[in-house]
Amino acid sequence: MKLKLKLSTKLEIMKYTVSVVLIIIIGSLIILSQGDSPLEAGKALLEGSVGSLSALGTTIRWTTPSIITGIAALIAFKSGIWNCGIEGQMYFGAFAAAIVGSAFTLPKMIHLPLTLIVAGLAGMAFAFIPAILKLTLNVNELICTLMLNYAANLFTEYLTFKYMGFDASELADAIATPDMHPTARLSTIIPRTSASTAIFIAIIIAIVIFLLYKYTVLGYELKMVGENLRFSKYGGVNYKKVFILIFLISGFIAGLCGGTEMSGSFGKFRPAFATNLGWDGVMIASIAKNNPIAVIFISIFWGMLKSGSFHMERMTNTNRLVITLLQAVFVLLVAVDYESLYKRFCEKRQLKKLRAQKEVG
Amino acid sequence: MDDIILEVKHISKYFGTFAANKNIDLKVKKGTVHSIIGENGAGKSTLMNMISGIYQPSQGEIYVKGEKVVFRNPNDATKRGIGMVHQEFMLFPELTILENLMMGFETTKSGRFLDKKKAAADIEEITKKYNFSIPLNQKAEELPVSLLQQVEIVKVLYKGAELIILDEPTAVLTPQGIEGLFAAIRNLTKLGKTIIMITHKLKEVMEISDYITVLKDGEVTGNLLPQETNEEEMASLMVGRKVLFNTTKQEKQIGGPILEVKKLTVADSDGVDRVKNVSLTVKKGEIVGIAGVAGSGQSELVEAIFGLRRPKSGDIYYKNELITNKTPREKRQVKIGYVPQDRLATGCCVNGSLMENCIMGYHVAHKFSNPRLINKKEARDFTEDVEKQFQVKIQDISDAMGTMSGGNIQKAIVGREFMQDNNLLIIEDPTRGIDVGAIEFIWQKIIDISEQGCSILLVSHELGEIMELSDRILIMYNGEITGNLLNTADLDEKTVGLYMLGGKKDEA
Amino acid sequence: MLRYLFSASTWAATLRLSAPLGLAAMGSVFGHKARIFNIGLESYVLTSAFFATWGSYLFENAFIGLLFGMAAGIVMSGIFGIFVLHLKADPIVVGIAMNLSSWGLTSLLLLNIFHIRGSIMDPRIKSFSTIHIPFLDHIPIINDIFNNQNILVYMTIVVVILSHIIMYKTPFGLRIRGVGINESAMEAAGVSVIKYKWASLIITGVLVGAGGAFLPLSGISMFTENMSAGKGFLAVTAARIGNGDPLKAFFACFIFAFADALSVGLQNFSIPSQLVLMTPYVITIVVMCFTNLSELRKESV
Repeated sequence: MKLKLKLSTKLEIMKYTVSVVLIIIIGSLIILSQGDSPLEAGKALLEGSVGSLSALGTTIRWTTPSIITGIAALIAFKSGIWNCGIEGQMYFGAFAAAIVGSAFTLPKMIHLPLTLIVAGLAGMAFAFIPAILKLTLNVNELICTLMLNYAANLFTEYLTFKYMGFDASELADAIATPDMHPTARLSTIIPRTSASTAIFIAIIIAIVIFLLYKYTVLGYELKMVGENLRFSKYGGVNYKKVFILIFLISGFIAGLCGGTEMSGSFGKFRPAFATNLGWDGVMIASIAKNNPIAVIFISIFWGMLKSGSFHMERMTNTNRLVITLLQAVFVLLVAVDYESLYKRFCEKRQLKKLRAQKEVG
Repeated sequence: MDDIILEVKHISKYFGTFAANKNIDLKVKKGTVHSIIGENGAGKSTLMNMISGIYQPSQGEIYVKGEKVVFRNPNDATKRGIGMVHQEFMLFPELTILENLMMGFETTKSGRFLDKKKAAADIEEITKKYNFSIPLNQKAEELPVSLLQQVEIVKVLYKGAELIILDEPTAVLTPQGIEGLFAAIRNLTKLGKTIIMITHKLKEVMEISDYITVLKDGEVTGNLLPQETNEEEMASLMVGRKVLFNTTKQEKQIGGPILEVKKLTVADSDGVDRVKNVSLTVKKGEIVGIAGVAGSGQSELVEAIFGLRRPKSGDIYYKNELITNKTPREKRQVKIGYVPQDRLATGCCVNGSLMENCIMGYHVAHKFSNPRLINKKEARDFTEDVEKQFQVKIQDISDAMGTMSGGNIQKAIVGREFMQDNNLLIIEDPTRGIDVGAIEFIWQKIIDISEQGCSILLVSHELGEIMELSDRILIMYNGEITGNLLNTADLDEKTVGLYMLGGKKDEA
Repeated sequence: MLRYLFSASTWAATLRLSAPLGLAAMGSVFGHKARIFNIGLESYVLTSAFFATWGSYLFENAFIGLLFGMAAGIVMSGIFGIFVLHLKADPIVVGIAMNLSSWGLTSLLLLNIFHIRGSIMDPRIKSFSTIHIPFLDHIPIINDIFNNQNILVYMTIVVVILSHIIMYKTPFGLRIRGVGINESAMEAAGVSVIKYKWASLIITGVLVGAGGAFLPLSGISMFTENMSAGKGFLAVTAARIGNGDPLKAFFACFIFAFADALSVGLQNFSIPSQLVLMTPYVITIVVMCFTNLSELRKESV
């Protein structure tokens, strides 16, 4: 039994090693095709991510939303629920935060938490739509959230126009909500960068979710729902309640990420401000395979890549789209089920051995 | 002198390091019924899967009519005239019977299009010759099991089978259905077909076979003739010891009603009524068995009682309280337990640890000292109790459930439900597909717990199990309770079988 | 306003817009029946749209563009098939990863090949022309709707009918359906499940590739980043709504296309453009609700 346990850990390690090696090879080839030296590009990536204090700041800045959206996606995926609407829920959270942050003047002690909580609630409200449609009408939540992402992007753009009193003929790029008041902003931790205290919020969320799964009855129920739904229903888990709860928590955290993005770095809502931040979360959650702590580490890696890619783009001919592409390919590589491949491999080897023995005998 | 139609020489099959078949030799004569008997897991199905081309043997050879053959897939076996009727029917519920029969063996016109007319005519010729009757244009999901089995036999005949393998054909049939099947088998052999029948029911073997081969742990332990042997000899060859299901019963007190179901009607997910106006009562300390052909509505009935399925109409009372629309959670809280039929899909979580599996249900019915937190010590103590008292063999309680054998998984599930001081237990097929030792163990536990005052509603597709354990037997036929019999010594399987087939009915 | 919305020109636009969706949905239908949940169709559409543009640009020929698009679709199916059927990866994760990679890949290629970001418009990119059917001239409304459509529109109608015939009248279709219902029964019937899953994937690749090629080659002759805009998801949804029935799935596409055509019309009525652009997505969700509603009703009866 001990051996088997070791085997699965071994396979996990092998899987990540193989994936990393493969991605380095694929990445090098792509960078070569762009007419660059992979070593140069790699150096630029490292320099741009940890090479200086400001690089470090940028890394932290991009690690933050990765962790939060990663956790938002993880909560849903772990229970077998495909909330791919992190992106849309984040837009709603961000818009709400920008409005609350700019429309009122309140003491910081109240204003900042209020901004973030309203952001979370906005994301939660938007996540409620696919949840209730699934429960009442059995509408597939994956397709529904995908559609709602497009709708959320357009709808927040519309709200921004409406709020600012413009009509739709203006260019969307030029339009934004008013600046948020300083009382609604998170403080910067590294000067002249957008690394903010949001990183602590992110880490705390990850740890709280980790503890939730490890020690609470609710966490146990959430996990079992994902492992075997029929079994949990039969064991007395109230699935409808759990399902709504998962969507609400996931949506709240996604919305909160919109809030920290506004309070931490952007300072005002611009339509379509965050291309694919929500999808980063989806990717990270699927790499992290249901482990909240792993989300933190993968997010740091993600943040490094993102901040490094800006520097790389400046220093070499390689566009940072290469990094986006490689991130997605990495998800593909990690999705491979090494355990079943290993089992099949063993069976074949066994068969070959027997055949060989027979021929000798 | 009889022709040898099939010969298997020194055949072995390994799955990983596990040897499912070891060095097996077998000769089958044309026009005979050859039974392969053995316990669950003795390697019967593996052997048949190799003969029908689903698995390739790790070692050894197969000869058909004296010619050496290598089957790479079931098609190769079909071409050699070997057809298999699997225990789990290989059918497509949403397709018509005609489409089912044509699948993989399509008749075409102008080379491209399905020719359903010709196929239907060919099939009707076969059904007429062998005296079967099946509706070709109905969907498979609309037909009863006994007809589906005929469909399967017609399917292999349609593909030109000379040798037909029947894998546990009687498991899903009533005693009368079995007689029908045997008549069909005799008819087939008379017309020159050869039958290999896999089974573990010794009575049937004696009745129908011309030759018998016994398997145990993947090896042949005996080649017998029915006229020269008896059930005791076969049993001892099968298990290496005498099988006697020794359960001890004591006198017990049966009290007042615990569960009362009144005029319950339940529909399945397609909206078809599966349970029609059913009323029943289970008293304190009583074991009530529900017998019936598979698919007579038993599953829907117990799912409705436990709250996994919402009944259309009718009432369920538990200790005189109305609980019709309560959820499984609320039912667990009032001490109702349930051992489901499908232990892997419903009864446990294969990837979860034994502990995670054991506290499921316990966490709502008993609650940890702080109901929001999982108390690791309490969880561990309870799991260890289950492990010890129900002899669950596992190295560590944090090991995954899926690493254990079927019997151990079932013991863990039964243990989890039995150890929660439930007042009512709903038990569905508690011993399906597990080894003899575990069967005996679980049967005794069921008897013991009822003697301690727990009421039990037992649903089983093994009539023997119902007869052995129940105090009272209800028979379900086509969604209705057609019989309510006290399980006295003079009640025999034939009588119950008549009810199961709808041939006899008590007036309510 | 209503008269405008239900005019023959709206119906003609609906037909035109339903063509790329319809082609992609026919691809999805084969996957759906073989029980392959392929959310990666979005990436097929985007990638093949790009390659179709490139092919048309290279050879100044729309047909070669279409072939490029189909080839791209087949390659995408190849990737999906290897990961899902052979490496046993979760199809949803693979689909999501493919969608995200295709976004990065097409933008990167746009930059590498055309040295441009955003979108490419070039006289060398040739579109398919419209076809005039003379005998329709004399039938009033039908003429306005069906005549002078892009050649791909007529092709789509043929493909839908062919899909229906293949699905229900041929051994191949029977086996595809069988694979989706019961895999082990297929193996027992001596039919290789993996072979038919691959076959259905290749068909998916060809048809969705054609649907993707339609986007840049139906007249506008341009490629834009993210130009698929959910069309692949809509194709998956249409196949689901039709439960794999080609005709029903095409009908669903027709409804989606109508919403799209309406939104084009609505822009002339000073309704904010964002709300107008939202309609197809909202309509999709509404259609899913309604189809499920009718199914739930059936259950309770």
